[in-house]
Amino acid sequence: MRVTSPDFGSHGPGLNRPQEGRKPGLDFVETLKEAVDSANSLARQSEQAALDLSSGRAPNIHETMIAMQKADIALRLVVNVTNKLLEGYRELTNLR
Amino acid sequence: MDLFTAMDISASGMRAQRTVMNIVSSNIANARTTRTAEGGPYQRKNVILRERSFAEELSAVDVEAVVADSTPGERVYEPGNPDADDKGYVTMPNVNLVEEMVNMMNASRAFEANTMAVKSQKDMALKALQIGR
Amino acid sequence: MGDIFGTLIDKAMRHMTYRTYRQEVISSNIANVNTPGYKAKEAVFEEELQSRLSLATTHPSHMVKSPGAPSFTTVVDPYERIGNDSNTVDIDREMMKLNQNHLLYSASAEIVSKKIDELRNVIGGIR
Repeated sequence: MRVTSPDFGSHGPGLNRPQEGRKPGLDFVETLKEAVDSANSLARQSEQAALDLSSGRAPNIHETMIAMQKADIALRLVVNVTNKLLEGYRELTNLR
Repeated sequence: MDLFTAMDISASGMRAQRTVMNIVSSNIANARTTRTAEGGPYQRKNVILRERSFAEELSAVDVEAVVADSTPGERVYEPGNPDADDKGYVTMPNVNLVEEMVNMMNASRAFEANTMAVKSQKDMALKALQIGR
Repeated sequence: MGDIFGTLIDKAMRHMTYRTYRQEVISSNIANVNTPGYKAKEAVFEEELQSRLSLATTHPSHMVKSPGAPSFTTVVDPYERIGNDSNTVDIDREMMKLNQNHLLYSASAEIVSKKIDELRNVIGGIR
């Protein structure tokens, strides 16, 4: 049976979730964890897509490329967000 | 299941048309062969092409068979010819040069078209590899 | 959870998948340009099929289905040409379709690349 594109769409990291009644410290850790998990998952998908392509099992070459680029962007986002968060955290902990 | 599938299909087309061109060349080359190793004049050959189902809804092409055309050739009065019969007639090969030229042109054109299909598929794949670079 | 990629990339990607499939169909026609009795095919979307009931699917049970994505299959090309030995492939038309299809595939690839670039600029480099 022919297979068309799997839905890679909704795994990108998002940072605009409303938070309710959570402690600030937990918030930070949670956000960070989710962002890292998301990037991790995308990286794994991208790796799998590349492996499938080279072993001849990939449905379409453009899907593989797009998956890899999405993973790349997600990773950049996570790295930058992590840096910013850590910066902010350090500034806060220095305000004593 | 993607552009590589298309390439396989086009490759089958090229193979088939190449066979047709070879057979047509053989017909043309033997248009005047009044005696073959088996005796008798050369018999022209036809290539039978057949659609082959490929990946469910697609189609490749195969050479099903190369068959000899048993239509008798023209009998020409040529008493001096060593292959003439006792009445001075020679049976010529059943090759019609005009028809063979048309067949050659069609096969050649079809071959070229398949080549262009492969080029297009290759360019599309390369374009996909450029995404995000 | 919001998604930074939006829907444009996925739409472009599905378009490219359709163009890839159509490339296979056009290649089938070109390979069989001289095959006796071969009927030229075209790739269509399911919705188009249902709205134009005069189209005949070549394989009614083989509809390419994907959740959330339009599905497509092959039909006998409605603009067929009656040729000798009942082959309906018009080679000039197929070559034209080949080029057009390639171009539209490339256009979607460009759209995706531009969007990726945009996102990279917004996010900034890895420092």
